[in-house]
Parts: sequence; structure tokens; C-alpha cells
Amino acid sequence: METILEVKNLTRRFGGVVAVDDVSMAVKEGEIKGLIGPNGAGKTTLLNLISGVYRPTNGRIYFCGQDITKESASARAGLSIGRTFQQPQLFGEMTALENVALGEYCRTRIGFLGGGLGPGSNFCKNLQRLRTSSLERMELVGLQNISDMQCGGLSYGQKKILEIARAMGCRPRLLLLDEPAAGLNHSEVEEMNKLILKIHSKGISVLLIEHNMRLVMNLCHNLTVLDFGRVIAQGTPDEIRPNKRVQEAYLGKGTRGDGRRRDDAHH
Amino acid sequence: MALRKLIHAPRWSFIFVALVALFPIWANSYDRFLIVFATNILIYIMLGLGLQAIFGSAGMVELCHAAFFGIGAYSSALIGIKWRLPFPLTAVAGILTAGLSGLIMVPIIRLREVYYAMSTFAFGAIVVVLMKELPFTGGVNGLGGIPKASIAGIRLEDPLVFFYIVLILVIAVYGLFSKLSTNLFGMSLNAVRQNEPAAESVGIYPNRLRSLVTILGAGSAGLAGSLVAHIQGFINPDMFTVDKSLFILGIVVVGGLRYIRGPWPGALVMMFISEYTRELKEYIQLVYGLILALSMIFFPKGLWGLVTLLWKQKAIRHYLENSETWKPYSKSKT
Repeated sequence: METILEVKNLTRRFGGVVAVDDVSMAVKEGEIKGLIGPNGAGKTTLLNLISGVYRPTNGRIYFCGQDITKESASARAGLSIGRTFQQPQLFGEMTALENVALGEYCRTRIGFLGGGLGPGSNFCKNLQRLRTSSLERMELVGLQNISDMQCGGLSYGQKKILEIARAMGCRPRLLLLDEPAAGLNHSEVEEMNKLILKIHSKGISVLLIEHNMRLVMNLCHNLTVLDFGRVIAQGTPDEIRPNKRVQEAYLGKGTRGDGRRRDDAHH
Repeated sequence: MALRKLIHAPRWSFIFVALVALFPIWANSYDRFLIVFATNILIYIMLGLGLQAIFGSAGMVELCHAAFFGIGAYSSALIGIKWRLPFPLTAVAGILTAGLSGLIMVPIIRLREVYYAMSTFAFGAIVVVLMKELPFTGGVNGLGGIPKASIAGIRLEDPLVFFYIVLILVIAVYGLFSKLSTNLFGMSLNAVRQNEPAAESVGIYPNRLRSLVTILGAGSAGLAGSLVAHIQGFINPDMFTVDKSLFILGIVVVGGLRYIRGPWPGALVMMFISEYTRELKEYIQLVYGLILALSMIFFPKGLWGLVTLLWKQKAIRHYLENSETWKPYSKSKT
């Protein structure tokens, strides 16, 4: 399998805090890569570095073999890196469908002059196409029923799914998902699981940040574990599960495999 | 195509335009000052439209619209006086210089919220100082003897003609901005205003859009400035102070923020108020402040929001429920 995203010696400092410290990792074409680690490990910072929201202090990012370290966040969307946010970031005064339609912004040529001031018919045709493809994406994620709702009125889970539909608009080769299952109830997590598999089956590589271990272990082909900004383990879920350092990072030093502290056992 | 669209346009907008166009015929026999006044209102509508795009659509609190207005007026007047160029050319020059001054603001565009507002405020103040101090701008007294607008060599003196020229240009500017606000450009501007990180994540370049909308808004203000210069025949720095920027801001807010039609009622109301409170002189700012505060409290969506609320509520709901065509630009349902 070919490498689609490669991160080399990536470091990001915020003042004295080193949020991401010399991280190297890779996502292969067509795999679901998990990025896990305890709170504050630097997962979201790493994702923001990959999507271009932050500039790295050090290190390089390669996408499809191309150095994209200096590209802006907007340009990276055009290069087919889609992303979602930990807290749903939607265009609050628009309908669900308009949100999803804007996802296709970097793939449309009906911007300022082309559709704006040119012949009206062409513009309408383009809009019709945009509407059709947006509805397709709404159907893909199973939100076709709420397409005309103002997105301020959607539930948290719907917002998270809507974000994925929007991110699909740039026809991503790599989709960055930042805790898609956080805050969702049990059945919604199941839905999310199916949705990510569906996206993956379209040949899209996924980089998944998640705290829900069941989801991660189910879905991911490979995992990278971060702690205090550093990579502490990489491997398949089966390799990661018994890893001592990972267990320590999650549960603290001096733990048994069952997750209880040793001194707890005496009480 | 264009014809079909015109037929499909709402009937009342025709009635409105017809009423405005027929207004001078009545005013002509009544009081010719009214025509001059109405022309002024139209110019302020044009200014309001530009600021609506910047402040309303892009969400940038821009406090230097009078500076763009002044830059347009001065550049077009200076070119008219020095080189005796005809009016349409000087107007183009006014638009371009004002647009270019919008381009100068590009470094400021990276700033956000209060910082942006403060920087534009400073920009407005600097421009007024420059108007007073530069060797070729005539100082505090401003410029006089600006050649009156002429078309094809015929010098226009009649306020009636000016009225119609300005009316046509205002409708053109309105058409441009309303077209822009309903297509993908306006939609992406809304996206930037509503959620910038999300806008970046779908590939929108926020700063490019902001620069573009600033240049367009500044350009339309430049056109308004050029019109004022060549209609009045004189200009001075007092016409373009920061107070005037706040007045234009008042037009946008009172008319209804984000309603592309807002500046029409906004300019009408604000101009009448400024006309009837002329005797207050410097205390006039108190009145403007009070109006802004009251309109924010009692009708935060402005006059146009009030109109849609009271009169069009049913019609819009009916339209939204029955229309098959998709409206990308979400019309407010209230």
C-alpha cells in the first residue's frame, strides 16, 4: 500500500509548551488510522497541523509525496484533505443542505465572476448540479430528511454527522475525523461506526482521533498512540492493547492489566 | 433571459422604482430643493449598500466608509480640475482610487473584530488629516470649482438630470450587490462570517474574500464620492469625517443589517432625521447615538427586518413552502 500522508519530525510549541514533539507517522492509502492518547496528549494539535490550521514549529508534512508544509488550510482542502472538528463547526444561520453544499466550494468554479455576474442560466445549472451532489452526500450519511432544516436546530449527533457530509464535499482522499463519536449515545456510535466503514469502502483513507476504544479497536487497521506530544507506540490494535507504556499513559503508573490501581485493591 | 427575469421580479419593486422615478415630477412643481435632497438620499443609499456588503455580509465592523467616499470625491475632483477630463472618466478614476485604497487596507483585513474596527477608525482619521494637510487638496476649505458633470460635452446643470443619473447608478450598484449576495460568493462570505475555521476547512480563502468585498465596497463609495463632487461642485474635509462613517453605519443598522434592501429605508430615515435636527449642530451625534441604541433595542433587525416581520411574514412562508427552486442564500424566515 502506498503512503498517502507522511508526517516527519513534526513539532509544535505554544510558548513553553511543546504540544506536539517530534512526531513521525504515516497513513497508508485506503487504511483507517487511529490516533489515540489521553487528554492533552496533542492529538487535536497534530490534526490541526495536518489540516493546516497551525503551522509546525519544525518538521515536514507530505501528502501524496508532495510537501504541503507551507500550504494554507484552505489550499489543503483543495488538495483533497477533508476534516471535521471536535466541536461541530457549522455555518449556524444556514440550512443543513447549504452547509453540505458549501463543502464542495473548492470543487466548484461558479464563484465570483463565473456564476456571479455571468449568464443566469449557467449559474442555475451549476446550482442544480451542486444541489444534486449535496443531496447525494446527505443520503450517504443518512440525513436526507433534515436537509432543509436550519442547522442551529439539529441535535449534537446530527451536527457531527453533517460535518462529515460537508467534509466529503471536497472529494477527500484523506479524511481527518476529530472525535466523531464524542458526546454521542450508544446507538449513534453504532451509526458512526457504520458510516466510517461506508466512507472507507469508497477508498478514502481515514485518520481517526477517538476516545471510544471499542470504536477504535473495531475500525482501525493501525494505531498511533500519543502521550505528552510524543509517539509512545505504533502498531495494529492487537499489538497496542497489551502495550505496557500505553496502559501506563492511560491509567497511570503502577496499574494492573485490569485498570485498577494496585493500592485500590487493598481497600 | 434577462427579460424573463425582469418579469419574474416582484411586482412591488417595480412600483417602488416607478414611484422613485416619478417623484421629481411632483417635486419639481413643489420645491426643487426636494430633488437635491432626494439625490443626496440616493447617494447615501449607495454608500450604505457598500457598507452593507462589508459590514453585513462579511461581518467586518468597518468604520472608515466616509474615507473611501472622500478618496473617491477628492481624486475625481482633482482629475476633473487639473486635467479637465469629462465626468464619466473622473468617476471611473474615483472608483479605482477608492478601490485601491481598499487594497491598501489588505494588511488590516487580517485583524479581527475590535482590532479591525479600531484600525479602520484610525484609517478614516488619517485620511481626513491628509485631506486637510496635503499641498494639493485645498486644506480646510476643500476644493471648489469642480467642473459639473457633463455627458457627451453637454454640461448638466439641472438637479433633475442629476437625480436620474444617480438613480440609475444606485440601481446598478444595488443590482451588483444583490446579485453577489445571492450567489456562491455571498454564500461563502456568509460562511466566513458565521464560522471561519469551518470556512477554511471547505477551501474558502477568508482573507481573499474579505479583500475582494472591501475593494468592491470601497469602489462603490468612490463612485458616490465622485457623484457628490461633480454635482455639488465643491468638497471639503468636513464632509468625510469619522462622524460621517458612523452616519453611514447608522444607515446600515437602522435599515437592517444583512438585508440587501436595508439601506433604502435606512438612508431615507437617517437623512430625514439629520435634516430635521440640523439646528442641533454638534449635538446631532447625541441623536444619532440615541437612534442607533433604540433601533438595536426595539428592532435589532432594522427597518427592513421590521417590514418583513409585519408585512411579508405570510408571503415568505408561503413562498418557502411552495417553491420548488432551491435558494442557496438562506432568506431569513422571520
